[in-house]
Amino acid sequence: MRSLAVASALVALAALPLSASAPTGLDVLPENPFLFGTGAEQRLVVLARYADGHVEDVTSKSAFRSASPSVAAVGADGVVRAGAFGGAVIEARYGSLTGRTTALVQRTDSPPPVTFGSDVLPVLTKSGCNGGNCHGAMNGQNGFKLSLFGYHADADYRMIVEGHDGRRIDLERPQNSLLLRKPAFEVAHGGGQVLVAGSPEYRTILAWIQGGARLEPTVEKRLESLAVHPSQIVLRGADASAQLLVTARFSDGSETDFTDMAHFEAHDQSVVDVSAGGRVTSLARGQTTVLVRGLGAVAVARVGVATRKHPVPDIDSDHFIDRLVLAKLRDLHVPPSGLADDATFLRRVYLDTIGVIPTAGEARAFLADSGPEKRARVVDGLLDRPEYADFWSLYWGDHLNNTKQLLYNKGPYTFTRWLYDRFRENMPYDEFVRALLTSSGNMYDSPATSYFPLMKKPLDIAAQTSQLFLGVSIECARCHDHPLEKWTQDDYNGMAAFFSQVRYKGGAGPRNNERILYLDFDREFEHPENGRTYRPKALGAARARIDSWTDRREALADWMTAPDNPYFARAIVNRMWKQFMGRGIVEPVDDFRDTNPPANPSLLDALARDFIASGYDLKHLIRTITSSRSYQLSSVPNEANRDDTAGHSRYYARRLTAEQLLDSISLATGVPEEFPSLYPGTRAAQLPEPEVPSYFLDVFDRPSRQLVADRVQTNSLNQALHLISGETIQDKVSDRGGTLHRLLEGGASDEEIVEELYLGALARFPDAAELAAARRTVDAAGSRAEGLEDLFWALLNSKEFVYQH
Amino acid sequence: MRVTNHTSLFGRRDILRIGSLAPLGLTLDQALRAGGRKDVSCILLWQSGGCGQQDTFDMKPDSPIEYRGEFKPIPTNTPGIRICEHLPYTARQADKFTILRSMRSQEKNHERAINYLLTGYLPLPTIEFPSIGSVVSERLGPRNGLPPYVAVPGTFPSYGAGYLGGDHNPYNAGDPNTPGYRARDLSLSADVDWTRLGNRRKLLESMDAKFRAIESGRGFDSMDPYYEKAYSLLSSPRAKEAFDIEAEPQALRERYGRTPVGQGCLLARRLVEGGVRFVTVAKGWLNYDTHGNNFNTMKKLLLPEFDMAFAALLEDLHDRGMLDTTLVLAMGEFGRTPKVNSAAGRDHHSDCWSIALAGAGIEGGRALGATDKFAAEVTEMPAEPEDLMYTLHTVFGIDPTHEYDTPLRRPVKVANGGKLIPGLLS
Repeated sequence: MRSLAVASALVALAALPLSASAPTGLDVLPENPFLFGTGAEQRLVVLARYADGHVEDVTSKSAFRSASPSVAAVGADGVVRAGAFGGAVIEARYGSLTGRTTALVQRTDSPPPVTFGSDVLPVLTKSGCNGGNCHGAMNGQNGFKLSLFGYHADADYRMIVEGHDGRRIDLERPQNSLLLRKPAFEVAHGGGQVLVAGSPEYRTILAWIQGGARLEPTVEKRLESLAVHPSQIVLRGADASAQLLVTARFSDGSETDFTDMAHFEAHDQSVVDVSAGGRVTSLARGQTTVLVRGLGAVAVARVGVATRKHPVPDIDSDHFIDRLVLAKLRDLHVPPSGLADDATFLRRVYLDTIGVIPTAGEARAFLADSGPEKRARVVDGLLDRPEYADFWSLYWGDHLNNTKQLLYNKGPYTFTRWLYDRFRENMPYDEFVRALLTSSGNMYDSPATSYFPLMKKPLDIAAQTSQLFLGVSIECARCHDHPLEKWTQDDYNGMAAFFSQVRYKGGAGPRNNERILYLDFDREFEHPENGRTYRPKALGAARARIDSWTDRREALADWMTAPDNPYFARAIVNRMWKQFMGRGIVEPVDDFRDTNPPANPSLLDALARDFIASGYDLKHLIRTITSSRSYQLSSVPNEANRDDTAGHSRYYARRLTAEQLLDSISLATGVPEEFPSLYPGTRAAQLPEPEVPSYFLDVFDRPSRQLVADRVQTNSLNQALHLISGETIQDKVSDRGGTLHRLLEGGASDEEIVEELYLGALARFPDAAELAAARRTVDAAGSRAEGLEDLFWALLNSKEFVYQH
Repeated sequence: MRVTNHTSLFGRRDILRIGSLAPLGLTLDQALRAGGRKDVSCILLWQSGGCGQQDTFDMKPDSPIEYRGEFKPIPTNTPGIRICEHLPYTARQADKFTILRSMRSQEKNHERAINYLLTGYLPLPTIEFPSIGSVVSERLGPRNGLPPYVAVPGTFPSYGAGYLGGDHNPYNAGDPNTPGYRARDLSLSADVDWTRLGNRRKLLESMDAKFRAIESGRGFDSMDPYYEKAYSLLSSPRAKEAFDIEAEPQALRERYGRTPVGQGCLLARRLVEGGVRFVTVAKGWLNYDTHGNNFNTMKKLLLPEFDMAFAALLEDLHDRGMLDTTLVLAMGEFGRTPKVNSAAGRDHHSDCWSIALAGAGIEGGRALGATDKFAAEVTEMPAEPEDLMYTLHTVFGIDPTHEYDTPLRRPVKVANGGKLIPGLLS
C-alpha cells in the first residue's frame, strides 16, 4: 500500500517564530473601480503581500495620491471621490512599495436618482427589517411582511406603498411616514429603534419618499451581483485584521460601493470575527468563508488564518488524496498527525466499512500479519462480506425514508432486501440511482418504487432527489426564493415537473396496501398552490425538451448521470468522504451552494473524476479513500493541528452510531441482541425499519427515517445512564453463555482473559499498566468473575470503545 | 364554583407591582416575564392520534345523529358546562379546568401535526425544532438535581430537543403501571452494589485517561458531562424517592386507575413534587386515531382510562396545594371529523378541536372559544398552535420571543409568533 511507504521521521514539527520579513508587493483594491455620478465615493483597501502568501491590511498606514484630482480626488483615509468624467490613476505608497488602481468616473451629467430597489431596500436589509426573525418571517410581523432579505422588490414595494391603506407613506409630510417613524422609534415599534433620524440611511429613505416613493423613477435598476475585494486572503497571527470591500453591480450597468449596505457573516465564527462594517479579524488558525449578502445577491470571501509558521513536511505519498490534502495543509501551515497504528486502523476501517468492530481473532491475526499490503488486503476482505451490504443498506435506508410510516408494513422488508442485493452485487452507483428514479410497477415486486411513496408528491420527490443525489437543498424554494443561493421557486417547480407522470393504482392482490406505480404520460405538473403548469427543467440546466411518450424520469436520470453533471458525482463522493473521514469536504453534505464552498475544491473534483473513471464503483471509491495516508492518520492531535476541523490533518474522532455501538457490544460480549419478531441473530444494522422496538437504538439517536438529511448524533443523560446501569451492557457482560463466562469455564487464566477482552473490545493487546490495573480490579472484587465483569464493563464504557477514532 | 383564580399565580406583592406598572403600559405577559412568578411545572397528557372534540368536550347534541354520534352530554359541577357521559369523574372536577374549544391548525398528517403542536412550528426537512419540554429544560434548567424533562413512558417522535441538543431530550421513565416498576436505568442491577460501581468507575477513569489527547482536538463531542450527571442522579435519594410509585397509598393508586395513563399521571405528580419541570404522559402512539369503531374504542378503552387519570390528577394536585403551580394540559394533535364515516369512525380534522387546561393560575370552570353546530369550524376566538405555545411559555415565565442561534444559521424564536390566548390567563 502506497501510504505505508511514508517515513514518519519526516514529520518534524518545529515551530518557527513569526516571520519578520518585509512585504513583497502592494495591492490596491478594488481593481479599477467605477464611480457613477459626481460626488460618488469609493473606499480603497491596501494590502501588503508577503512571500508566504499572507497579507497585511496597511490602508491606514499608506499615503495616497491621485494623478488627476479633478477627475477623482483621494483623501488621506483612502476614500476616492468622483469629480469630472474620466479616469484617474490612484497611487498608494507604503514604505518603499507602491501600488495603483484606476478610478473610472462616469455619468457625471445628472445626479443618480434614489431608487427603491437599489437604495431603499438595502437600507431595510442592513437595518434587519426583512430578516427571518422580523418582517421577513413567513408571516411578517404585525401585519407588515417583507420578502426575506429583499429578494422580491415588487412585493415589498406594494406592501410598503399600498399596504396598510397607504399609511406607511405620507407624501405630503414625508417625515411623518410610518416607514420612517416606526424604525426611528418615534412611535411604538416592536423591533425597537433600528434607524437613527438624520443618519445617511434615514436620509436615503426620506429622499425616496420626497421623490414620490416611486418603484423605479427613471431607469430600470436592479441589483445584479455583488463582488468582494479581496475575495481570498490569508491573515497571519491572531488579531490581524483586514477590511473587506463590497461593490454592487446594477442592471443599468452602474456600480457602487456597497460595503456599508452589505451584511457580513463568518461561516466559522471561531476562526474570524467580522464586524458589521466588513472588517475581518483573525481569532484562531483555520479557514472559513465570509458570506456577504444584500438584496437577494450573495458573494463570498475566503479567509485563512495561519497563526504560527509550522512547516508541513514533505510526505512521500503518490496518492492523489494525500497530495491534495497536504497542499491545503501547507497553505494553512498545519502539519498532519502521524500514522495510526495497526490496531487503530483495523478497528476504524471495520467500523467505517461494515459497521462493526473486528473480533478478537481477527485483531490477533491482523496484528500478527507481517505480509505486504496488509491494510489494503483487509479492506478487500471487508468489501466482500455480507455485513458490507447490510451496513450500506442501513445508510441508504435512513436517507431513502425506508419506514413503514411511508411504505406500510411490508414495504421496508422488500426494500431493505432490494438495497442489500444492490450493495452485495456492487451495482454501479449511477445505475443504482437510475433504478430508483425510474422504477415502476407493483410496490412489493418492484421494491425500488419505494422511492415514490404514495404520501410524497412531485414537490417532495423533487426536493428529496436534489438533496440526496445532487447535494442541493432546494426545499427553501418551496416557500421563497433561496436567500443564500440562486435557486428560485421556478427551479424547484421545474424539478418537480419531472415527476408529474407518476400515478398509482390499487393492487389486485390481498396484500397489505399494495399499490402499483404507473405513468400517465400526458400529465403535466400543476403547482398545488398557484395552479400554474411547469415544464421539466433540471437544476441549472435549460428547460428540457421531452416528447410526450418519454418517461420524464429517464430524461432526468440521463442528465444526472452524465459524466459532466456538475453535482451528481461530487455529491456522492462527498457523502462517502464524510462517512469515512468524519466530515464532508462540503458540509453539510446536502448543502452544496456557492456560499458554502468546499473546504478543498480540487480534492472534491479529483475524487469525482476518479469515481466517474471507475464506472461509478463505490467499492473502488472506498478502496481509494481507505488506502490514503490521510485516512490512516492518527486521531491524536499535535500542537499545530488541534484546532483543525476541516483540513483532515488528523482523523476526527466521533461517537459510534446507535447500530455500530449495539452490534459491537453484542459482538464483543458474544451475546446477540434480541429484537422482537425478527430472526434470532439479526443485528441492529439489519433491521428493516426504525419501528422495530429497541430502547438502546432510540436513545443513541436511531433516526426515524422521516428526514432526508444525515442523522443527528447527540450525547445525553439517558445514554450515559443506559451504559452505566442499563441492562444492555450489564446483562451481556454477565451472560453465562457470553464471551467472558465461556472463557472462565474454559479454564483460561486471568491474563489470558484480560488479553482476549481487550482484543475483542479494542482490537489491541493491553499494555503492562493496563494488565496491572486489571489485576488490581480482580483482586479487589468479591470474586474473580465479578472482577472480570467489572473490567469488561469498563472496557465497553470506555471512550476508546464508544468512539470511532 | 371557582377554586383557583387568576391572581393565584402571583404573590400579593406581585399584584401590587403589576398595578404600579400599569401606567407604564406594561401588559400582563410583560409583567409575567419581568419575574416574581412562582416556579411553574407542567404535566401534559398527550392524546396521541387526535381526540374527537364532539365526543368529549364540545358535544353537539342537537346535530343529526351522523354528526353527534352515540354519546350523550352530562352536566358537570359547573353550571352551563356539559361534557361526555363517559367522562363522569372529570365532570366532577370541571371547576378546576378550562376547556378551550377553539384550537385549530392546518395540518392533518399525524407526524407533522404532533411536531407542530409540541414545537409550535410546522416541521421543516432542514431543521428539527425543539419540543416545549426541551425548551423549558433549556431555559429553566434542572431543579433539585432531577432531570427537568421526563417522558412517561418514553419518548415518541417530536418529543425531542431538536437543535437544542441531547442535553434537553426527555429522560424516559418507562411504564409505571408494570408490576415492580423501577425507573429505567436509575437503579443498579441486583448484583451490582455501590462498592462495585465505585470500582468500575475508578477503572473506567483510568482507561479514559489515555483518550484525553484525542479529546483535546477541537470538535470532539465528549460524553463526560452526561456521565457525571448520571452518577449523581443514580446516587440521588431524591430521584429514587420521586420515581418510587410504590410509596403511594393503594387507594390513591386505584383512584388514578391501574392503567399506563393513570399510573403515569400519578408518577408525574410525584416527579413534579420532586422537582421535575415538565412531564409528558401518553398511552402510546396514535391510539386516539379512531378511523373505525370510534365509539366502542372511546367508551371502552380510551375515555375511562383518561377520565380516571385526569380527574384524580386534578383533585390530588388541588388537595396538596400544588395546582396553583402545576399546569395540567390534556391535548392531542388535532380533532376528528364532525361526520361519522362508514366504518363508524371519525377521520382527521384540524379545523377545530378542544383541549383542557388547568392550574398555574388558569381559572377553572370555564369553556372558552366556540365552534359551529357540527363542531366543524371555530366560530369564536380561534387559537393556533403558535398562540398556544406563546401562552404556555408565558405561563412558565419564559420569554416567547427569545431567540436561538440554530445550526441552520437562521435565528429561531422560542415561539413562532403567536399571541396570548385571550382570557385564558387573565
